[in-house]
Amino acid sequence: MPVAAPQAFVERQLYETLVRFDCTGRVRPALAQTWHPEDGGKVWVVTLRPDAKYWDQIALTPQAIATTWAADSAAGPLVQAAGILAVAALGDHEVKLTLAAPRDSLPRALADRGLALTRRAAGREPVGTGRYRPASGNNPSTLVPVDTGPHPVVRVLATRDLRDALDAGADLVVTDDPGTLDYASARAELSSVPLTWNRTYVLVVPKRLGFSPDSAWSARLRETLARDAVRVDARAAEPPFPWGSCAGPVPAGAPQAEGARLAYPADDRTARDLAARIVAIGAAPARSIIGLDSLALRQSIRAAREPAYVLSVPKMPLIPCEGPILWPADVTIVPLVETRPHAILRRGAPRVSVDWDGGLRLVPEQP
Amino acid sequence: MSFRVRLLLAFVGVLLIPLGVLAFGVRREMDRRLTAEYDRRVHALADVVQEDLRSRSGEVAARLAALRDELAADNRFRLAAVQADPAARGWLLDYAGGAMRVAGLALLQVQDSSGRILSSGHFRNEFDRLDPELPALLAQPRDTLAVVRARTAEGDFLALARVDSFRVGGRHFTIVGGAALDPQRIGQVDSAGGLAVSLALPGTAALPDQSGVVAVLGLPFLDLTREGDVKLDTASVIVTQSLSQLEALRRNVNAWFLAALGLTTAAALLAAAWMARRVSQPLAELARKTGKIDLDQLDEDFATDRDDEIGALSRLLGDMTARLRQSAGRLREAERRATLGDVARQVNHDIKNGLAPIRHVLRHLTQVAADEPASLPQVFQERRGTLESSVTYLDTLAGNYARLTPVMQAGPCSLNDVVREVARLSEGRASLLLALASDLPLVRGDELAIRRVLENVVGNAADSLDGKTGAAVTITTERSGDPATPSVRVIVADQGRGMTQAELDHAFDDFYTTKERGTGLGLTIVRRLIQDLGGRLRIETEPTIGTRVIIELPAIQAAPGNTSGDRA
Repeated sequence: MPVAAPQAFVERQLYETLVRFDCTGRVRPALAQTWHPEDGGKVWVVTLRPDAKYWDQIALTPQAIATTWAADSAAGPLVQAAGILAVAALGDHEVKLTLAAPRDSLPRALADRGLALTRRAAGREPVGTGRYRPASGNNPSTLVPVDTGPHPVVRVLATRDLRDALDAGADLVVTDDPGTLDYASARAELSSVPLTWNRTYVLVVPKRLGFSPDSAWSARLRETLARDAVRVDARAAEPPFPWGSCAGPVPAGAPQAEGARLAYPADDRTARDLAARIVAIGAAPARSIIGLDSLALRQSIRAAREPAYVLSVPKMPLIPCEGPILWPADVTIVPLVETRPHAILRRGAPRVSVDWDGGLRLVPEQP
Repeated sequence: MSFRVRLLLAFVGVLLIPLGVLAFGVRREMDRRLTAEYDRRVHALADVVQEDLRSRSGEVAARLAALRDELAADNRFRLAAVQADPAARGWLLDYAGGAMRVAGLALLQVQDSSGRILSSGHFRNEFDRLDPELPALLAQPRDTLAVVRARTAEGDFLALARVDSFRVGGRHFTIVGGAALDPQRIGQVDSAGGLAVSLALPGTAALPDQSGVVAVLGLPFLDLTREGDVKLDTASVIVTQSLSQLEALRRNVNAWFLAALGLTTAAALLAAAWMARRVSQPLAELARKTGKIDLDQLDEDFATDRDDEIGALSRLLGDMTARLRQSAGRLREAERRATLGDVARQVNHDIKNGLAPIRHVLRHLTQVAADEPASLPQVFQERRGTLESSVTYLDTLAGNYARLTPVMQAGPCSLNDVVREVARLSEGRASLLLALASDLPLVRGDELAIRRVLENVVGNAADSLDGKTGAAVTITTERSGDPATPSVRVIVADQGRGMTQAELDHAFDDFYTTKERGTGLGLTIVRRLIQDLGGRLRIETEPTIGTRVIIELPAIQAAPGNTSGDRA
């Protein structure tokens, strides 16, 4: 099965979380078979499915879960953000999660991709528990099923122009490129499916400038931007907005002179389009725009080097206030537009399911 | 200012002035030629720049015309711009970006008749902004490019832009396009040769260094970043030729000329000093000798073998001194004769004084012989003392007068004989060596005077030895002069203590002596006697080495068969 999709699609086939959050907003079993709260929601006991094991047939144990989350530098902050204080094994299949405070939404947090369970192997890709594994060593361009069964081999196509992938017979292409979508619409054997609105673009400006996200002007700006400024499937951002209580520390740097630059992630074309339009109509205290890589952007935000930023955040994060949403305290966050990718599917190709965040998962064929 | 300094300055001036004129001329010609060459290069480059701008203007105009025609024929444009079809709006917004890249332009903007931006290639998201001045202002400079400072999301940039227009559906649209203008690339033209092209925008740059050669091309300029205040201004393309190379050349030429000037000056100074010394030293020597001449000292030697003007002057002075000697002799003779009358009267008076007692005694004796003959012996005995004292007085008087005025008996005299006689008389005083010329001519003079001269000189020489062991006095005779005026030279040389210059300067002064019991009149009398003999006296001396006294006396013209001063 040839596919052309982001790296996130590949990782979703290789690595599993304890639970998953489907497109309807329901928590579904994954590595965990069942889960229930205790002590008024301050403790959660998760029971692993009996056949939970890595590709190399080593069983996934509760102790391995604790070790993975403790050793993984990416998972650590997420565990902390989810409110988990301690992870303990209860027998061979049960995990006891102790929280700092009762939390009913913990299962949803466990679906965050950052908490996928892997086993580190020196010099190799981490070993996962998914239905697929790389065909060879560190090369994830071909995924083969771990178990024998009616699972197709997944071959990831790397083409600069996704239309080439479609022409090469790709069964699945995930993209927001209007040119590719336009091309797919002209091909009868292909169908295009919009995925979840999964990214929200926001304008971050100092509070002292008096921006009001709820004003009519902001609403008109959102409409204009969604309609003309960006070249992807976009709409004006709609509430709820998950960053309300995510204010961070006041930046150490002094406020910069207005009239400087509007910064955006350099690899995000939609963010650039939005920033350019905002500068063109003078909607922000900046005369030009500048693209920064992720590290420089994060440092710039923390030091308040620029007077305004255009950023994208997950539309509905499973763990609130995690990741890039770490605002300084004295800024106003103006929601702009939200976007969604499309999945182009070849008719007759294997079925896929959609998670809450728009991620695609191959659905095993029923024998 | 001394003659030597003047000579020095003259030499330096003669060498330096032509060199300075040469340096000035070379520099002036170099400046003129290089400036003319620079001027030609600058204007040639200005012509090239102007032609390039004209060519680029044509290219932009052609591309705009093609885009204009394509756009007017495109139904999607008609739908979006005329029919306001929302489905075609996205295409229109993206149109200019794609068309701009295809046409190879850096600036492309489509506007409707109200100046609203419908599509912008260089700033996609500035759509709907009103910019009505741009097409009108760009249309003012007809058929030429304008420099435009346009805005993108990332910043400003410069472009060479033109405007075109078209009609669709009865509506008027303008299309503005331009090629990128990189001031940095302009400025890189032949920077090694000092030739440069730069762009000066209004209010942002002044003309470059005015000391260079400059040509300025004016271009219309629009600053689109000044929203609401866009006006037509003038930008300047400035072609300059730096004079730094010329300055470097001037510095090199100056350095070389200064070096040449320095070397020439040093050489001139050395040469001038040497020449001045060569010229002035004989003159100074002549001046020194001439300064010593007076009536009592006319024995300076001006003999020279130079055949130049200084030699002639020296000979003239020698002749003049010789004539002065003769004149001084005649003067002295006249003086002697003038004083002879006084002496005669004195002698007459003195003799009369001496004879008066004798006359009285003789009258008394005569009277006694006549009156009392018997007492004559007794009276004679009584008056004999008076007679004897008078006679003694007269004898003494005669001796005194004889010493006062020696009588010169000019006659042929053998100098060698006199030398031998003096040597004989001086035996025992010092070791004497004689070197006498065998064919020495006779001299005319008083033998006694010559003898007195030699006795004095040899005596001085013997005294100067001062008991020095092995030292001797050498007396040499030899011929001198020329056939017309032959002379004989006698040289008395000693190896004694010699004289200092101060002692020599006072050697002929009366009463000057270095001896404990000397009168200080010896050399004065010697020189007077030699001058009376018509000869010359010269002294060469050096302290601790010795002294040479050289005496020249005129020789008698030799008669056949009697040429030798030696007598048998």
